[in-house]
Amino acid sequence: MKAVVFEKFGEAPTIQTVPDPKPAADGVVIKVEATGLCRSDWHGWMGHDEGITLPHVPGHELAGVVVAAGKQVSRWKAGDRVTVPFAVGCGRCFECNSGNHQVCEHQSQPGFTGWGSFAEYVGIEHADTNLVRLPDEMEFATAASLGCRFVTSFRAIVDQGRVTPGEWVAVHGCGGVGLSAIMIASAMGANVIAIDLTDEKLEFAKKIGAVATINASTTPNVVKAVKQITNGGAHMSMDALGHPTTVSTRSPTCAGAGATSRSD
Amino acid sequence: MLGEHARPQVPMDKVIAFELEILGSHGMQAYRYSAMMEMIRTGKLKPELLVGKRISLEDAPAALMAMGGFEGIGIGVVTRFQ
Ligand SMILES: [Zn+2]
Ligand SMILES: [Zn+2]
Repeated sequence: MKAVVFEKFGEAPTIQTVPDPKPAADGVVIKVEATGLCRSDWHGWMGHDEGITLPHVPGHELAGVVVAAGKQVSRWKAGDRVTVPFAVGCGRCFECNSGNHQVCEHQSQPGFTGWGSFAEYVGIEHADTNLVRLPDEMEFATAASLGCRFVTSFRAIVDQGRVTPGEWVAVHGCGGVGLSAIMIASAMGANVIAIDLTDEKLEFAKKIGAVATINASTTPNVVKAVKQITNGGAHMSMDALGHPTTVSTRSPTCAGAGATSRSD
Repeated sequence: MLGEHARPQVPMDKVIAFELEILGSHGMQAYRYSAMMEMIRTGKLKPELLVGKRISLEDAPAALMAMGGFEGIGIGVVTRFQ
């Protein structure tokens, strides 16, 4: 198959022909139909991620069609349209048994712990635990965009941030994670402030639900601006500059405006 | 958060005084996708609006190397593999 391969950290990757992956006993091989470009792939290529061994194929936000399944796989077969979260849980450890596959103690990550989806095919292990079926009407490109940034934001806003209607949410950074968070928090009924350095991104943030914007390159004191807009402070502040892992700060009351006094 | 962004300073005095919570998010479990997928199916979430440029696998090395700088709007996706 064709794949994007880098042999050394920081040196230009090339398109190479490499052996096709074979399915693990409990895994599948997916024909990649779409794969997202994420800054964490860049970090991996730069050598910032300890888990990568060379040569390496990046890519962790993927959607495609199952072409082969190992013999222990019971839920998936060739032809199924699927995506997968970037943190693939083993399904057996303490974290997985408690329902927290995203922090599995033995997680694999396509494009980090193994070869990823900047390729025609990618192997994913523990398929029964980790694959997600795509709705028929969902395009592969949209599905690929979910796998890292959109789901990270969904969990940050809904499950971790526990955002409720009417709360103020300040989102710092309007890249993939930030824009996803703005859309999701708005859908949850929150009032969202988008913060970024460019008016172009802030305009787009408004289109997808932000009720207020702050251009941090022209606003001397962003924390003060957030306090003014929110009458005291945001209930939740999300750092959407560093992904895929993202940090949210939650305050029990509006008064806790220290929520925005983060390092970003 | 990798590289020089891995260890931001946290004002612990404020965390204590205002009882703030700092929460990580590391993607989402496959079984939790259904809630999100239903919000997409009913049109409450429209992730397709966030899909940015579409490129071919041939263009992926250059796109990858450029990602240290400012991104364009939305999520770039490789959609052509031949
Ligand atoms: Zn596990
Ligand atoms: Zn990512």
